[in-house]
Amino acid sequence: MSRFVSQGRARAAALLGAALALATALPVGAQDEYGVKAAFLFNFAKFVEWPADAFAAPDAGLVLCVAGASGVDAAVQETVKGKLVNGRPIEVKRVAEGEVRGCHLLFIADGRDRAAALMEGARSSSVLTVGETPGFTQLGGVINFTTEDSKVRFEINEDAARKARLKISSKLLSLAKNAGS
Amino acid sequence: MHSFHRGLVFVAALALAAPAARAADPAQPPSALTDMSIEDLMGLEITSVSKREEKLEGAPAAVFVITNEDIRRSGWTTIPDALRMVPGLDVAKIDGNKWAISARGFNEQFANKLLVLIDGRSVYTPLFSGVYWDIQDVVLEDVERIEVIRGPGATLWGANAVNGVINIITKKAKDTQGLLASALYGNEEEGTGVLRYGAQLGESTWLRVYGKYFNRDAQVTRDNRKGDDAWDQGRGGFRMDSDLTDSDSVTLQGDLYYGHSGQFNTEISSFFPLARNNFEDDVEVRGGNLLGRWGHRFSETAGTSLQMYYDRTDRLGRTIREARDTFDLDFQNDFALTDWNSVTWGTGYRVTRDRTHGTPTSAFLVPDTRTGQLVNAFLQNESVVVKDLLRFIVGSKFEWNNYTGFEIQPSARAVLTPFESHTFWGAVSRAVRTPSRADTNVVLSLGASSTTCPVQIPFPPFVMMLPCTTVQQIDATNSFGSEALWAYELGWRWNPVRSFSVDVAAYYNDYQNLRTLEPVANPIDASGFPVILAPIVKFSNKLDGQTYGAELTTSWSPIDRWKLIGNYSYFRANMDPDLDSFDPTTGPGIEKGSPTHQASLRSLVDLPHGFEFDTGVYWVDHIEAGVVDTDISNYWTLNVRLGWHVTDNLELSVVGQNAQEAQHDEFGGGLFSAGTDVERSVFGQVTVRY
Repeated sequence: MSRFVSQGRARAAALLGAALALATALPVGAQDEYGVKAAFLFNFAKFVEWPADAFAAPDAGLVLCVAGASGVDAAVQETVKGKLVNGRPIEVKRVAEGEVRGCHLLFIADGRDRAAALMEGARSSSVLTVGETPGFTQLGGVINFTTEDSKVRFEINEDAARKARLKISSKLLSLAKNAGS
Repeated sequence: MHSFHRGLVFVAALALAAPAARAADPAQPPSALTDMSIEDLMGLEITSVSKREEKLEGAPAAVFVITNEDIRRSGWTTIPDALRMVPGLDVAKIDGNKWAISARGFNEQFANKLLVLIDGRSVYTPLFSGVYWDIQDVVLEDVERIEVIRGPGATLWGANAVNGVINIITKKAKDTQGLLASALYGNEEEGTGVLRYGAQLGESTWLRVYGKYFNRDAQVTRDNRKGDDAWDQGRGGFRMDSDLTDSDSVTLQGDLYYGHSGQFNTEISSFFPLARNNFEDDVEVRGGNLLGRWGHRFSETAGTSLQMYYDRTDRLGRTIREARDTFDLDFQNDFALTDWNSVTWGTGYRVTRDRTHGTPTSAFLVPDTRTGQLVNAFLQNESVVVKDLLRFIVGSKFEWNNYTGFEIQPSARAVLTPFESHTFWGAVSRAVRTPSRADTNVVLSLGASSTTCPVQIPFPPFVMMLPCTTVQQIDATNSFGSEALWAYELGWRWNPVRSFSVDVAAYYNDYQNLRTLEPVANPIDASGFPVILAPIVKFSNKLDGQTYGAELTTSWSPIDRWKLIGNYSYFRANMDPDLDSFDPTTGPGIEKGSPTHQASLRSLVDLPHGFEFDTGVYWVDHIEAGVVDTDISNYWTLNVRLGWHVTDNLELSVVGQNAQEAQHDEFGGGLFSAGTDVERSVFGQVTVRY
């Protein structure tokens, strides 16, 4: 605690204020998994460039599709509500097979058995497919969540990104577990 | 073993005290997460509650999951106490190291209708078909979750999962990396220390090793004397997980333990002249286990697993000593036939050998050593009958054991999801409890009295009254058969928003051939004069009965940093002895031995600066319980915990357990041990993680 030894009231007050802000801004204890993954999806959308024809207008919304258990889309919606990605609002949709064409980002939650079918629908469009099951990137998914020591990690399949005409920023690539195909 | 009950006093009052703890600051919405950078997000620890909830939402059974967070914030320090958070479970602490735990009634020290597994290893003892709770311990911080299924889990888990299955699952080695050091100390908790270290060994192999030691104070007797039931134990072990290939995973884990579980014994040391012995029995417990599991996924929809384990338990008390070796092999395969139909099947073999040593005047087994073998197979089919609406699961377990031969346990379940966020399920199942070693082989003295007996003298011919001792004794019988159950269950789950959920389960259980004590054909044996065995009784199956009840659990987050969890359970039993039964006490004992109502309310509050304020109130209705019939009045207990995440690495907490009363009684005595009262316990804990 010695670093908080006072060197002036104003400074102590500023440090205390920062500590308070930090304490209330940083959630403590274990976080809900899908809330955290939704925040990751938000960041993925920030650091990925879609081809020009993917959006109707510069301020057209980014469609974030969620396939999976009920409740996951609600968790994602709660997390990204009211946020903008590169100036675009985010629209969260829950989808089943065959509805993935209009999606910019498709998150397949725990979809071991559904992944292949859903990916079929996304094949020829520029969808950023994100999964969370082992082997997802081998199926052609672009990003896959893994968990290590109860913390979220992700791996990126650059080949799949290229096929979908998506440009992934080098910053995102550098943070991925094993970037590459 | 056997409960005696008489008399009836009925008091029922529901007293719930909801702790009022509100967060001082307005709660931060989860959208605060999007303000964090990716690097910061990668530093957050997550819980897979939603994932589990999704799997559980569709489960056609009364499932309750205790999470790692639930345990950490509950203020409980043992697995048996943590089970109090489950609706429908009877948890009663008998003395400082013994619990009577059962699901949906039939609670007693040697409750025999519950199957308990730790990481797939069965920990119930075939000696009495129950669990020695004092030797079931893990590093609680490394528990992934405890799944409790009330109702017959027969199809997948087999015989003895009659009223429920408890599955304690520890975290994978991958999720317990680095150093964990924890120290706990208080007035009843006289020191618990945990040290665990996890490391990555190769690209896809992880290992953890741990050591744990605890020392717990004795409780107090009803008349306020110090008990003899202190409890100490040291254990250590490891777990190694390896993802050999993309589709293969291997696990190897093992533990060793040694300790003492004290108790106060009253035993008959000699029949004639009749003498009793009261002494403190510091029962020595030691043992270990080694388990290996290999899982292989052929594809997204097919997989197989093979599991093998060895378990050794030694229990050395002054009245009974037991050493048991168990070896178990299990194989399981699941595959999808079509995209709406999947099959799971498996087979297993278990051999268990015991060597026991008893006391002729108290209890002993005939024969004193025995080997039991068990072969089982199961088959289950899951079909989506109407897409997104109706699922059927039909299956059966087939068992052969060398006590009762062949047993079949079929089960049929259905899941209906007509509306978004609602799940309805129903099940009909048959379950069987096969005889334990004690059911068929025990010779047990129930009581003895000094008296005088008439003896005929031939010359001169008259009758003389001579001192003798009469002993009531349970004699070994090999004719005890399996108990059987037909269970009918219904359930409803509603999860309209993430912050609120309700889970209700109801059941009607129809039991046959429950265990009773019946006199043998010639119940008086005077051949050992001056010791007269009278009456001689044996275990038989002359009781039928029905139980019914319901369990409710609800979870609500009124604001983001506050979570409330409420449970309620209701239980009734109507026992129906056979016409030729001479046992007047077992039936009423079951009817009164489990509480009619139970309720609990837990509140978890996240405060600013890393503080946590957690409270739990538990209320249990009155019962008559224990080997010697005891009236236990209804009681409520309160746990209060204040936790502080000082930094990312350091966590402090102060806990008051059973805080509102200096002592209270939960159960009568055990078979060879006096019961004691649970005391108020206050302790502090320091946990460091690197």
